Amino acid sequence: MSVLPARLAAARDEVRAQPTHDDRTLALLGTALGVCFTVCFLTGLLSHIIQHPPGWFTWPARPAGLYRVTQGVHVATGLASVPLLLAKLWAAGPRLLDEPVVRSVAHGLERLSLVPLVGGSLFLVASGTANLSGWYPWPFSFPPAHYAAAWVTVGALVVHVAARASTTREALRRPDPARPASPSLSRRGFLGAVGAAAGLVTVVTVGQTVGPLRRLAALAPRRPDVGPQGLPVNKTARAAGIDPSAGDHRYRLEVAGRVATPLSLSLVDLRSMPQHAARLPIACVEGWSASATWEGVPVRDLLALAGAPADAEVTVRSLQQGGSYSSSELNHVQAADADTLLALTIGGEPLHRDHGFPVRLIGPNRPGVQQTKWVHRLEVR
Amino acid sequence: MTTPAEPPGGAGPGPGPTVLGGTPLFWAGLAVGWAIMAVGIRSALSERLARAPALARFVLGFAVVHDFVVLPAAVVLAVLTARLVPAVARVPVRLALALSWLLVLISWPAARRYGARPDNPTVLPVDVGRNLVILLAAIWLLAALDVARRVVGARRDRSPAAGV
Repeated sequence: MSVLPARLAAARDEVRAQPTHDDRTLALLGTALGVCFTVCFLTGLLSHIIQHPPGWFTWPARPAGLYRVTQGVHVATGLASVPLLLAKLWAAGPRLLDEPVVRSVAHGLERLSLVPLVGGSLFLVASGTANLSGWYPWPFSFPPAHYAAAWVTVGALVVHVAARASTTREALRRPDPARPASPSLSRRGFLGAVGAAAGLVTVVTVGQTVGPLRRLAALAPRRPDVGPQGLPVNKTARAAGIDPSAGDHRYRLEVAGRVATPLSLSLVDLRSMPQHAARLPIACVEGWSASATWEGVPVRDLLALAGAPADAEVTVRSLQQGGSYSSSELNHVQAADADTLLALTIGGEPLHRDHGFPVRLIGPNRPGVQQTKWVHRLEVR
Repeated sequence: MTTPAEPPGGAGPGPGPTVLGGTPLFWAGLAVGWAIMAVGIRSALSERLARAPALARFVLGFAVVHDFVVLPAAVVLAVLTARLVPAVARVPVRLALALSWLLVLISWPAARRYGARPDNPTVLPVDVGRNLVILLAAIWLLAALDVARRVVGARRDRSPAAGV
């Protein structure tokens, strides 16, 4: 027996029968959303592993722009999934009123799993979008919260896919019945609008990492060409608490740890060493990226000068006190790469303070947060 | 009540429901899915995220707000447009409403400059609020043009010469 008022139940059934709410529409939207979420999850997981590498994982230094692509795809698929998600929730909306609420143990568990699926999906896209603007209106740290919610959401998605696999397969196999012309939205029109919305969202944001589209990035929080020396900045010297006198005659770069000859080098010493130039991107975890020509001393030259072993790994320390990103790690592949530099200049000019003057790390295929600025110490392991 | 019968394989019982229900694929998916969820819950409870209860409140809050506020509000909007907007204009108006809502949602933090930092002008260097208004104006202009096209088409269909 229905607990819903008869009019509401009739309205639900009428809406459910419309092509914008039927099984086929849900199957098509679900498939597109599943692909987007999977790509977004895998690229996000990769970014997490790169920043917190387990023992078995060595992130390569090449191709130099690989992280730029994977993180750009992560943010782009996350944003493109917003219209898909909203459309899916709208299309499935009448099913919220399905009766009986629980038909079996399996059905009850499936419906229970929808709570983390819906809540987690909305939390992920909302928190991710807020993070792009550097806005954190919650009482927890963004990266671990986003990471934990992603696992919960993907787990709930697996349950949903398993529960709906057969219905989805059938709905996609069944020929689409011809329907009489109607002034309301057809399935094709609805899905076309959702696809166009996803395309529009991508076009007005992706220019923050795809340079040629930067003029179209009307809603992107960053422009890859805006900032001192033509590059955006995530943390300024002031915000990092860097003393304005950093880089004066008292500056020393220390190279210590597992080396035969610890080094203490002044800026003059560093400038007198053979310089190497490389064009490399800064690829931020927030999805923006920009390339520049950096010049400085290869880390491997400093390691050779100090007599470090060939398999040396390095902790790069900043003058920045505290904070999650005041140091970063170079694995043995990155440390040995010719383009992993302690940069002294950008585009032929001394680094701007906000880009890490006097010395910053820049290496191929690394997240921007690991391109440590205001470097003063290399600890070799 | 008429609900489409679930084909075998879904979690639903289909014809002849059982207490347990579900297919082997569903139960396998449930085990794998909940194991994956456990990874997330364990991570949330770890030292790196000391505010796991707050995160849980946010996730549940989004689900509750969607089901009990956003979805009913969208239904009310759909009913209102059905009653207030002539049939010929309904589709473009609804699409323009949905697209406007979407763009406002994804650009709201940037348009309101919530993440702006006085020491860092490279964050939010573009006036996203102004761009949002321009985009919304363009969307509604296109919707108006589409309505005009539909009205003209409907009149032509009704005119005596139609079909001659």
